[in-house]
Parts: sequence; C-alpha cells; structure tokens
Amino acid sequence: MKKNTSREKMIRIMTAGVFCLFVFGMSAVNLFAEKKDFSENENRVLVPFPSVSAQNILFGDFDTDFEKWFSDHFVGRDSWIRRKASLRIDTGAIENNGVWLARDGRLIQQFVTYDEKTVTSNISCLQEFSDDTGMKLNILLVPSAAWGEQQYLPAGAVNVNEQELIREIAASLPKQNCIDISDAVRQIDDGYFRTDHHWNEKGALIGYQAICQSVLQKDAQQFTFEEVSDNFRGTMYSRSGAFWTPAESIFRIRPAKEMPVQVVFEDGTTMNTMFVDEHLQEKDQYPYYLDGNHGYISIRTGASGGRRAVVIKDSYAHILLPYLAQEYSQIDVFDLRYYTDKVSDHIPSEDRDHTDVYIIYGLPTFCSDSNLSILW
Amino acid sequence: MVFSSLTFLFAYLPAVLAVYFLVPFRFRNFVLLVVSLFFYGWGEPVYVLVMIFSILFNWIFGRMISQYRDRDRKTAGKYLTICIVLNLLLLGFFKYYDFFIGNLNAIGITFLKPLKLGLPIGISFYTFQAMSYPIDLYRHDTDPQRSVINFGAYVTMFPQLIAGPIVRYRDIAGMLENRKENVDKFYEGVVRFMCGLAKKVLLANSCGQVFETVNSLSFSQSSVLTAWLGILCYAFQIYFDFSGYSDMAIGLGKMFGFDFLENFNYPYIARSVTDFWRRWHMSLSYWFRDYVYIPLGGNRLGLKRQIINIMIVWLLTGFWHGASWNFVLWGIFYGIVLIIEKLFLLKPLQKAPAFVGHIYTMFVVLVAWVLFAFTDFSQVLTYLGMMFGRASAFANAYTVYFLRDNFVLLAVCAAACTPIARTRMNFLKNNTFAMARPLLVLLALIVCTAFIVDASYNPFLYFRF
Repeated sequence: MKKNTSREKMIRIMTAGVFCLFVFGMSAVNLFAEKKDFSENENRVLVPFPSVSAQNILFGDFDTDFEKWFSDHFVGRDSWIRRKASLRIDTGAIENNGVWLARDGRLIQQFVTYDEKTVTSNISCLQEFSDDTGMKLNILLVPSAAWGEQQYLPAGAVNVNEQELIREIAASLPKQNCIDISDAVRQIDDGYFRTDHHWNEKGALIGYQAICQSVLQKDAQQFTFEEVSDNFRGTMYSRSGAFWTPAESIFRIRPAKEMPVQVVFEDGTTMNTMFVDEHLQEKDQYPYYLDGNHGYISIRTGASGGRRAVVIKDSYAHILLPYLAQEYSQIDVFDLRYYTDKVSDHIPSEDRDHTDVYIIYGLPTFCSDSNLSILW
Repeated sequence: MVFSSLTFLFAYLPAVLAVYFLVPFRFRNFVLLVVSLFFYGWGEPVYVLVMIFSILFNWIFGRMISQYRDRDRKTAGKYLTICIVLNLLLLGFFKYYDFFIGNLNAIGITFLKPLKLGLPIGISFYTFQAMSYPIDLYRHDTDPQRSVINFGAYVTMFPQLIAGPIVRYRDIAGMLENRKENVDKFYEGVVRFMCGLAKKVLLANSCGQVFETVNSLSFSQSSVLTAWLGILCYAFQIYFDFSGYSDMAIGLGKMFGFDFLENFNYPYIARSVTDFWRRWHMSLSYWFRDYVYIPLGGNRLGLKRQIINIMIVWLLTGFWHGASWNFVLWGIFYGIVLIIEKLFLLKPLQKAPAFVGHIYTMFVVLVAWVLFAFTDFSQVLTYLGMMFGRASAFANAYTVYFLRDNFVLLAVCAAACTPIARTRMNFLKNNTFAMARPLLVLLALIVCTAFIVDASYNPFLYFRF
C-alpha cells in the first residue's frame, strides 16, 4: 500500500511536471526563437509588433494586435499547422480548412454553398453592362476543380452542381453568349493544378478551344507545353496544411509560331512576354502567367485580323490569355477587384463592331465577388 | 484574452504561475488581484475602472451592513438596498441601456439614442458575484472581509472572471484567508484544466464550424436531418464551450489552491427538463434560487405564487443571458416547460422507461437552443421550419457529407456528454496504466496547441483578398 501511494505521488508529480515543462518550455523557446517577417506558406507579411503607446493600449487595439503578433510568430508555426492537418485526416475527416483532401494527392478547393443573392445581383450587373454598352457579352464561367475533377473527390464529399448553376446563369442571360465548358473540363483528366485552385494550361486550352468554336468560329491553333518549373506549391497546398503533398510543374504555353507581344500594366510598366520567370523562384508560382493580379493590363500582339478583345476577369483568365493573344491584336484586361474606373470608357464606340467582350471568372469567384457592380 | 489562446497558455499563465509561487503566502491574494486586473485590463483597459469601482462600493457597503446588521436591521437593509440598486444599475447601464432605448425608439419614443458602448467582459458574472457578498452579510451567512485586497481578489479572480462559475462569497471566504496549494491539488488542477482546454479547442470549436456551415446552406441544399444535425452540433458547441471554460476555471482555481463549486453535471443525460436545469450552469441556478426565488417566497406561498415565482426567475434568467428578445423568449419557454413538468409531466416521466425521458428532454433542449442561437426572430422561424419539414428534402448529399466528415467528432462529443469517461477510464487509476496520465496530458497539450495555432492560420489567398 505504501508503495502504491508513493507511486501515485510520483505519477502526479510527473503529470504536473509535464504540464509545467511544456508550458514554460514552449514559452521560453518561443520568446527566444528567431522571428520571421514573411510567411511563404500563407503568402503574406506577418503581423508586426504593435506600437506601444498609451493611446494604443488604452483605446486602440493593442491587445488583439499583440495576440495576432504572438500567434503569427509562434515557434514552429508551420509544423503545428501540418500536425493539425494530419490529425484531421487521422480522425477520419475528408477536408481541412475548406480544402478537400482528395484522391491521388490532389487538394481541391471546397465549393459547398454560395450566396444566391450575389449570383442574382452579378447576373443583373452583366445585363446592365450589356444594355449600357450595346455589346453582347461572351461569358465563360470556369467550373472549379471540385467539378472538373469530381472523380477524385473523397467519398462523402458534396459540391455545388456547377453545371446546373452555369446553365441557370446562362438561362437568365438569354441575350448573351454563355460558353459552357462544364462537360468539356470533365472529359480530360488533368485540367487543374493538383495543389492550386486554378485550372492549368490543359484546362485553359479547353476554354480557348470553346472560345474558338463559339466566338471566333474558327479552328483552334496548336500549342505545345514546355515545363519551366517543377516546384510549384499552390494556394490549396498552403490552405490545407497538407505540407507533405509533392510539388507540381508549371508549363509555358508555346504557340506553333511565336509572335511579338507587348504587355503594359496600369502603372506603365512594360514587358515583352506574358510569362514572368521571376515568379518561378517563389512559392506561389501562378503569377508566372501575366504577373498575377493587376487592375488593368493592355496586351498588344502581332496577331492578324485586327480584332480587339476586352476581358473582364478574375485570376482564372491569366492562364487563358496566352491563348487568346494569338487571336487578337489588342486585348484590354480588367480586374474589377483592383480597377475602379468605368470599363465602358475603354471601348470606343467606333471600335465596337470589331471588339469582343469577355467575362471570364472562376465560378466560385463569380458567386462571391461583389465588385461586378462597378461595371455600370 | 481567452484561456484557449497562445497568449494565455504561453505567456500569461507561466508568468502568473511563476510570480504566484515565488511570493510568500501572505502576498498571494495581492498577486492574484494584480494579475487578475491585468487579465481583465488586457482586453478592457478602460473598463478596469468599472470593475475597481464595483469592488470598492461592494466592499464599503459590506462594511456598513456588517456594522448595522446586529443592532439596526432597518439601516442595514437600507444600505443593502442601495448596494443592490447600484450593482443592478451598473449591469443595467452597460448591458441593457441600448436594448431599452432601441425598443423605445422602435415604438416611436426617440428623444434618447443608443450609446453603443461595448459591454464590459464578464460584467454579468462579476456583478452577480460581487452582489452575493452584501446579501450574505445581511443574512448573517458570512462574516465581513476586512481586507479590500482579499475581497478584490475574490471579485476579480481571473479563472472565473469571464465565464463563471459564479462563486458565492460564502463558499470561498475561508479559502481567501487560508488555503493549501500543493502537488496533489496542482495535479488535479492540471488534469481538469486540460479536460476543459480539449473540450473547448477540439470539440466546441469544431462543432461550431459544422453548425456555421449548416447555417449557410441555401434552401435547395437544406434538409430536415441536416437541420437537426446542425442544432445538435450547436448544442455540443455551447456545452463543451461553456463547461470546458468552467473546467479550465476550476482547474486553474485548484492550481492556486481554491475549490470552486461544480458548474455542470452531464446535463445532456437528464431525463427531464427539470433535471437538465439541475445539471446545467448550476452556479447560476443556485444564485437565482438563493437570491431571487427563495426571497420571493419560493414554494412556501402556495402553488399559484410558486408558478409566478418560477416565471419571474426564468424571465430574469433569459434576460441575464443577453439583452435581446430571443433570450427573453428562451427564458419564458423554459419557465413554461418547467411549470408543465411540475404540474403534469414529472411523475409519468419517472415511471416511463429511461429512453423516453432522454428523448423528450433532448427534443425540448434542442428546440430551445434554436431560440438561443439566433437573435433575429425570422432566422429562428426559418431554422425551426427546416427542422420540422420546411426543407427541400428529408436528407441529402449534404447530410451524408456532414456525417462522413465529422463522425469521429460527433462520436467523441456524444461520449463526452456522458460520465463514461469517468466510469470506464478507471483503469487509468490503477498501476499498470498510471503512466498513461502524464502522457495523455502531453498529448492533449500538443494536439490542442496544433489546433489553436491552426485557428490563427490565415493564408492570404489573393482570390479572397
């Protein structure tokens, strides 16, 4: 009996000791660990230490800013996040932080529900824009990977019926040309990045072919793909915490015949290519295509035929534009999340009969973006 | 600062433990007072003044009451009344002023405008707690506290400051003067704290996410079964959140040598709603029983008066939970159910098989949580509608998804609502498995830290800017 009690005592001391060691130890390590300013995985600047002033402490947000700083710089942050992700899987979950842990090591953005009001209002924004400019819109809503690669979704996963939604949207815009690729993207196996929410060069090729058929009414040109990176870890990699997922490749899209191209951004910066090699050195490499997000991009090419395109888009269009550049000598690209002026001012009325207007969005963005109201 | 944050676990708590155990006993209440004021002032730097004011006037009135309580009941009563009114004014001003003005404005009386002051955290808890002191004094249930530091330490004590349990002064008076901190108590505190942390971080937060997603489904995606699953997750969330917080408070209290009263006793295994309320947020029920129901006459003035008293208590209980009509409605709903049980249902329920009582109780409780979950009444009606058939299907792919993605979570939650862990895990107490205890604590610490860090993880995905 005496032995038992002393053993019990020892266990108690050990239990209390483990707690204290962990709490004090982690605190000490955390206090002295080196602090980073930028989180590659999260693709953002970490919160700086809040300003220490009486004003900020008494009436400002010192407390919440301090807590944000503390957790942003917590020691071993990425490995804790990875640990949580693997705990989710080990306890039978099929998603983490809004990302499906899909078959074949694919990480697919969840698109489980959407706000019907936003969709309705975006539909009427497009209609107003069309009425306002008197131009017919070519609307390409790209289904998300959860639709295009649904054969890889884990058992029990749900997804918005994107085909039905795309057709509903088309039906409520009868005067516009809605390009439905919801079947086509399912026919190829590899139309989306495995670790990113965007479609890839093969998926975008399908978009381009559909445009050729439905807008340009001509045969699509041939392209080849040249691997330029094999260490791309995309947005879904970051968000899921599944940091054990292997990296994937990025391809440059090469037309059969290269032609000169000039890209001008809203701030006047100019490039002679649509591909930005510097971004291949970063963790997020999708900005390789057209340098990522810009409010306005003007693209001039040596394409013949003298046709113009105006593209209102989200980032899904970036990988499609290298294809379109083969067909239009001038493309004006607007991202309404960053561009706040009137788009119709950029479509001079004398040009309107040889200008095609495109609306190119990933379907999830179209269902959640409230910036389309800027259009009119 | 909440307990389930990195700042608390890896900065505040170790600092407090170190200081507390380094100073001699006679300074420890002072240390508790200072660190608790810091804890409170962290989120509410200005409202610390409200709290200090509350401590001071309750303590001073306590002195007056104890001076007069033996020789002049009338004067003592006068002081008590003033003190209670002051407390209620404080609570009323910060918690209910805007609500009343909003309602007055709504019926056309517009000369006053809402002030939009933030609610001082925990004010509902600490005013109730502080108020118990003058009342207990007046009733001779306790002796006056000479030291304003000890009294301040009692009111502000950071473990239960924000979400209870509501500790009555008389329950803790002795421990303020004399308590033993030792390894056994610290060990119990650690185990209890970890249980609470795991409940909050692993169970409550995850269930909350499920409820949130269920709530965001559009009508065409909704189904009856999903709605029930959603409100079940809400029930889990609120229970593990609240009881987890109480566990953490009780655990921290033990580390500092205090024994707080229990606040929950497996409420979801109740066999009647009356039973449920004996098991849910017990410290609040005791408070209302001791300081409202019994002074109103309780059950001693006949059935009619008793029913009125029950309704008064439940109206106040509902209103205490928040300045919004849905909480009032929630309180009234429970008042009515409890009266019906008292008059008709309790006896047949006791005779019926246990499962009848369990199902009936959970049904009532889940319906009541809908009233609690939404401050907007149209949302209450929509959600109740879904539960009772106004949905696009009985079950659909979303139901399957929620079950598939969360079956382990749901199973653990269901088990953790029952005393199984206490009755079946006894083997941890015997020698062979005793070593599992420190390992379990370590494991829980690692897992909880991972979940807490992940909650602050915020990838900047530019499409969501």
